Amino acid sequence: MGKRKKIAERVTALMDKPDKIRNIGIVAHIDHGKTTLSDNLLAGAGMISMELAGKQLFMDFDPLEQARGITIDSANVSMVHEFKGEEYLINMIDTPGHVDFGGDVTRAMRAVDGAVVVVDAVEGAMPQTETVLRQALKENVHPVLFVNKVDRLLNELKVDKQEMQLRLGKLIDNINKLIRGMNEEKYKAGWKVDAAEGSVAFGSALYNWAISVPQMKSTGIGFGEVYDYCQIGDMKTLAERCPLYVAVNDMVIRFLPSPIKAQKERVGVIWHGDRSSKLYKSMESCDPAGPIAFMVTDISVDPHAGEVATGRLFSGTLERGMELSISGVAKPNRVQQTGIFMGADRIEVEKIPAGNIAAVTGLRDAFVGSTVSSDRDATPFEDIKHVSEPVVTVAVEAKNTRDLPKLVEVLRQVAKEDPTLNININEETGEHLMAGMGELHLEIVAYRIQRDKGVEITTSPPIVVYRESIGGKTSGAVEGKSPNHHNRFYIEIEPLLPEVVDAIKAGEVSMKMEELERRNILISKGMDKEESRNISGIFESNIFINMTKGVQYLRETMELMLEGFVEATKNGPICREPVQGVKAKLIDVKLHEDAIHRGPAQVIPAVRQAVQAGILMANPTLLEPFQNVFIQVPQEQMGGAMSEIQGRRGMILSMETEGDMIIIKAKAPVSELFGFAGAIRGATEGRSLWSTEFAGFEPIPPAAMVETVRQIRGRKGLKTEMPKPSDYLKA
Amino acid sequence: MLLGVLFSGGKDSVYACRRAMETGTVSCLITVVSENPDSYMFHTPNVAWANLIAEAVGIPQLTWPTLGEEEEELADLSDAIAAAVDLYGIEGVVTGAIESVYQAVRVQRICRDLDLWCYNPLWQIDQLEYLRLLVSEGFEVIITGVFAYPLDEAWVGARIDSRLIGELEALRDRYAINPSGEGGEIETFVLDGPIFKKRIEILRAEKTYENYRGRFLIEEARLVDK
Repeated sequence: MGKRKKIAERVTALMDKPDKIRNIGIVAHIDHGKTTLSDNLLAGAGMISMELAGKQLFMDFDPLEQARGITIDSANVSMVHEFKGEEYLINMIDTPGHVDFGGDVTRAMRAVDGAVVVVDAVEGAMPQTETVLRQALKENVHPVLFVNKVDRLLNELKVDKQEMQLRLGKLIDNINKLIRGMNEEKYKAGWKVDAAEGSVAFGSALYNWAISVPQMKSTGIGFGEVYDYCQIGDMKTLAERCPLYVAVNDMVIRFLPSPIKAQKERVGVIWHGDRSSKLYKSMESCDPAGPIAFMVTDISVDPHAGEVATGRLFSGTLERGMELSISGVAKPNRVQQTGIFMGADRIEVEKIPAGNIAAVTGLRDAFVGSTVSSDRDATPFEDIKHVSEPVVTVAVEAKNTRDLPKLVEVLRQVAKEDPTLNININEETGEHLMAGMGELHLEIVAYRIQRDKGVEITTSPPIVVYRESIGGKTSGAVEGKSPNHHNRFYIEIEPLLPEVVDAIKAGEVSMKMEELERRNILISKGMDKEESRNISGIFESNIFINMTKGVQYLRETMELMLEGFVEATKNGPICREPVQGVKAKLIDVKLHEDAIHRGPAQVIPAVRQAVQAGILMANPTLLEPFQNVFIQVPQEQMGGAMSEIQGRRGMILSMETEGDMIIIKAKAPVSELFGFAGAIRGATEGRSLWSTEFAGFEPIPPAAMVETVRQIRGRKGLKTEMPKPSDYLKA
Repeated sequence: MLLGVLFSGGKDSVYACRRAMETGTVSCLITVVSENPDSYMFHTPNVAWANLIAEAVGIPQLTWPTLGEEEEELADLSDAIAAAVDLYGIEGVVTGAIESVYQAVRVQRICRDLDLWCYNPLWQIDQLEYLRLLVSEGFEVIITGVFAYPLDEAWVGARIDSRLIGELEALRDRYAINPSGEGGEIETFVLDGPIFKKRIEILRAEKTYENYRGRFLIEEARLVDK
């Protein structure tokens, strides 16, 4: 512990020198060796022994992670590295690679300025390499490349020297093609990775060595030497002569931006408030004396200190005792402790200046994605957008009745910690619903509820989350009457343009931006000018538009109307699944002049029912989630893999030969993919590697709609027939 | 002072009547019968049975019809009150208004034009306390109409007692429902109380409910000795 304390001292000494700080994330496709790389860097910084690196999986401090050999949560660590005689502070976040945990990657990207993209030398760029790279570029996070497992090229594929260089060159080209395809501007502005420049390192995290072109001179180790050492199997000498942490950390310091440089470019991308404000200027210049601007990217629970909010401090200096406002919460919270992370341990420090990753206790009302500021009226940061949506649900019940109240508490807690998890608590039935990104994601959460939180639970088999949408529009306005009949709402329902839906899902349009900016983006996506000007609310990918003019009392009632709209879109009229892609236009309103006659109990149901009935009048459709499935399989097992896909309503998108392996890209409905892990293993004698990624929602075939609706409604204890508009408008 | 009570048979008008009886002499009950079930001014379900209550408390009733069109119904109310002045010599009008500014202001205006005293004994009373008072003083009140989210079928025809008041309190906190129904959420009918010389027995009634609108329609009722 003494050693680590000393590191903590060196870390704190560097914290207020932002030009000496690098905030980085390590991202990769599953199993390409992120965590092993992270451990290596830790070993280099003296935090774990060099012999253990590669085996210890220090960053995977959850026993479950170590047992499964995969990383589930993002873990953080701060370390010091010397470059050209000067000390630098590297704050590093290791992120999970399995697609089911994609939410963690997205969040981590908000906290960092640069990313080390790890790619397996043999497999090359894989689907999640693409996903994480895209997330990085979207958050304006600068990438460098680490080509891992170079020894596999020689030992498994038996390539010669020339072939090795060719293959590595091709891999780098592929990565650059991806960057270019995602963002041409950035590519041209020098965001491509370049081996000659040094923004690519090659090595083996397992054997602790790495090289980069600029370092070949000083170490005397080039590709030729690497080849020779690998041939004779002398990894130890390689690790001594060119240790991995030196090559990678040097690359990080040289090519990834300091907070000072990064915030200048990034703040405008992730924050859409007033650019002439003090807050903006302070964030842009990473000013430790400015107002606090802290974005929470992770919440974890410390058994002693309570909830720990980890995130990026963009402006100001965090200190104990500060009263800070949290976006969307009226009462301020008081900071209890400020600290930094060293793997599982949190080390308390006096204060944390702008540009660092901070771990703070006392922010009880914060959740992942909260903006924390000393300025009560601060514009919050853009929401962290997840590429994937929760598509699979299980019902959770407590095994013992006495655990019922505790389970509710625990579920609320896990929802706070993991924003990609959707928890629906039903205290009446005790059957709570938990929606996540995939079967595995939910399995892990369930496991943790039992192990970490000590509540025995049973879970139902997984079911798919559907979406309700529309294909047409209402002919004229639908009248929604309040129960007392003294308020009437006239609402038209139309589909949103696909471009608008995509823009909302991608986080390009939100209610947080300035009205003018939002309007311009919506118009550019094809929305009518008048409509773009009158947006009252955006919920998931649905929009409520107020087309009325000069209606008295409307302003004070709008919030209730939006609440009704949200309820209708959360519980769609077809079978109470979430609604997407719907535009509701308020055409006319009649309100009772007396405020007590138009309270929530009147306005909310009236608007909700009008929207629900309207959706049913606008050619309602049911959408189901799809996943892209990537399978890497030896040729002789290809047939088995193909029939697994085809038997699941799957579509083969492409097939490529890579050496003696076939890479199959396919797409299949999530409802058919349950149990796929076991089935594909059986069908290919365990010789396939596969991964999935979310591929959006698509309408289910019309022929299947009636039956699917019947099933879902039956499961929810609703009347099984497809409802009619009049069911929502009666009385 | 001779008073006329605007009277629907619901708890507010019955309780206002009780208070008025302490202040002066109630010489008539004025009941406006609306043909519009969604009237802004007048209580509608079961108003036809208000005559039983009038008989039970032993005060003459004056009934007056209206089409119940918004604002136009006020002229009918004014006519009804003027008739009460002519027939019973009332000098003041009593209402059961608690918080509904809409209704109170309109009655106030009519009284001013007719030079009558307008007395609102329940004005701004704490709604929950008021409900508890009704129960503790021995009024037997049933819910004859619900018009608010999330009130369900179970409320239709229910008796107001301390358990139900507790539920209303919870609904007030969660959905801003007015516990005594001032926002048109609840309508009631009184079957018995300290000013009743006889009580009312309901022999037959029909319940309807759809989308947060429910009614308890009395079809047959009679007075019985206490």
